[in-house]
Amino acid sequence: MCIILVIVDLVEIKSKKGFKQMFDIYYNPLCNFAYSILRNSAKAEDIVQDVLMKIWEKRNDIEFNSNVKTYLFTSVRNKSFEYIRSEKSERAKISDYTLLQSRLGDDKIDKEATIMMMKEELNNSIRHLPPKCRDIFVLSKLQGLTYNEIAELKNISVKTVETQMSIALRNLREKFKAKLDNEY
Amino acid sequence: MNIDSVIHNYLLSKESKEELRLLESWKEESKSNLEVLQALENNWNLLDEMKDYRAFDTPKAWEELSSNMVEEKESKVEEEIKARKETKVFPLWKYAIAASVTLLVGLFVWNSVPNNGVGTASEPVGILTSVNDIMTKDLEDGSSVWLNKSSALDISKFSKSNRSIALQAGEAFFQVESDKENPFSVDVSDFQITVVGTAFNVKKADQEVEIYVHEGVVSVSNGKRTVQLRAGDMITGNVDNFALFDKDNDNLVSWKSKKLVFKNTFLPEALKDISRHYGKSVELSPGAATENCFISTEFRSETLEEVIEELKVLFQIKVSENEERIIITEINC
Repeated sequence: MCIILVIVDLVEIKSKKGFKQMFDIYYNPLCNFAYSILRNSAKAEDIVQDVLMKIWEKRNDIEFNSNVKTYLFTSVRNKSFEYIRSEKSERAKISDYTLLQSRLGDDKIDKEATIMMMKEELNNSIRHLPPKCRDIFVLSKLQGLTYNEIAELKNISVKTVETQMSIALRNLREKFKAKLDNEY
Repeated sequence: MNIDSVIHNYLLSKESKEELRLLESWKEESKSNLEVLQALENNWNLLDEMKDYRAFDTPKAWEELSSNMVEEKESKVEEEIKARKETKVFPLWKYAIAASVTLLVGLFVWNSVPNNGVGTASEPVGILTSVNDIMTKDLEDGSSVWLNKSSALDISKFSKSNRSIALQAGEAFFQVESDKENPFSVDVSDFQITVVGTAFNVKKADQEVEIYVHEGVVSVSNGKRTVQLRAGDMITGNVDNFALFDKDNDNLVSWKSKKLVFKNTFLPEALKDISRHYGKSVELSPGAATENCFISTEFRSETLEEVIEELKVLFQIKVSENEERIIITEINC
């Protein structure tokens, strides 16, 4: 893995301050994870908040045998699945629920969690790009516009789009380098 | 050629042969180049799965969740007090003077501060010094000065048309006669406090600057920059970093008013005022649960021992004491 994941010291979550650190790191990726299962952002947030509140209440009793990240993502997955089943919705019957179950099985949840954390990290990196190249980067990579479409939309040349994309890449490159340097 | 433009074309699989050659040699330059390129490629591909990725409102969610969180050691109140303080912290004057100064300015409505029979100084104009007692001095413009114990004030240059004073040590309280033509100023080391007509308090100690305003506006300058403080504001910190607090705490000049007043005050905050007033630290041991401890009382002529006795009655505290400090080891609120 090329991106370092910040794991909060397990003992630390027993204080409110430590818990907030964990919250700040995991809340958004967990919501996105729940959303990827539920396709309902309000419900996704509810479930993540429930899971985190339970952990807070049980903080003195929980034994974190595996790491916090796996524990959190597994809990959110279970709660989300539980919701889909209890809802007795069409969704529970259709095949993609079965697919989800196998895609997010216990053997795969760790990898899924890691990918989610990478997405969070990348999303943060993108948010911190200089505004002009961030816009162009998002239009291109997340909204799937071609350079010609972006040039037309922004009333700039295709060359400028390319330049801004390079600037975005330089920013990301420097960021990754700083992280890798930190790792060693 | 710009390597980022080469990487860009490479990620879009439209690199020229020349560019590919450049990229290969760049990769060989260092292990870190190679790894960074791999990270870029991984993330570039990851982006294709991120079209749905969004930013949920984490601060709002924390607000919701934390309001339901109960914690033994750190109460919500304490956090709020901290947050309130932290939000207003900002770096103020930065300048390269090694010596740092403590300065306390409190502006008071004169009538609200009773005169508790402090002794009057009879020295001629010059340097006022006090040792064991608080002293007072009437100035020729009609203003008055109170000088705390162990303090020194230079009034040798003071006149009706040049209302300037320097606090050399300790703490002083000024009742300033209004005169818009001739501002009243107090120098404390490299700081200058300027007012037109009001009452305020200045303290000089070792490491910090403190400026507290009770009412009206006070200008404080370090010669480079002037900051205006309004009622309830307090600045504290050293010369490089000041924090602005919304204090609104008359107990900061309890030495002058001779009273400590608490109105539903969070006990850890009250203990700071008590420590300051009596010149001895009264602390809570780290394990003491204080989230529900609020105090409403008034101390006027009580000794510290009597204050501790009252705390024992109010909060069933147990204390351990030595020369420098009193530690509250048990408390029940």
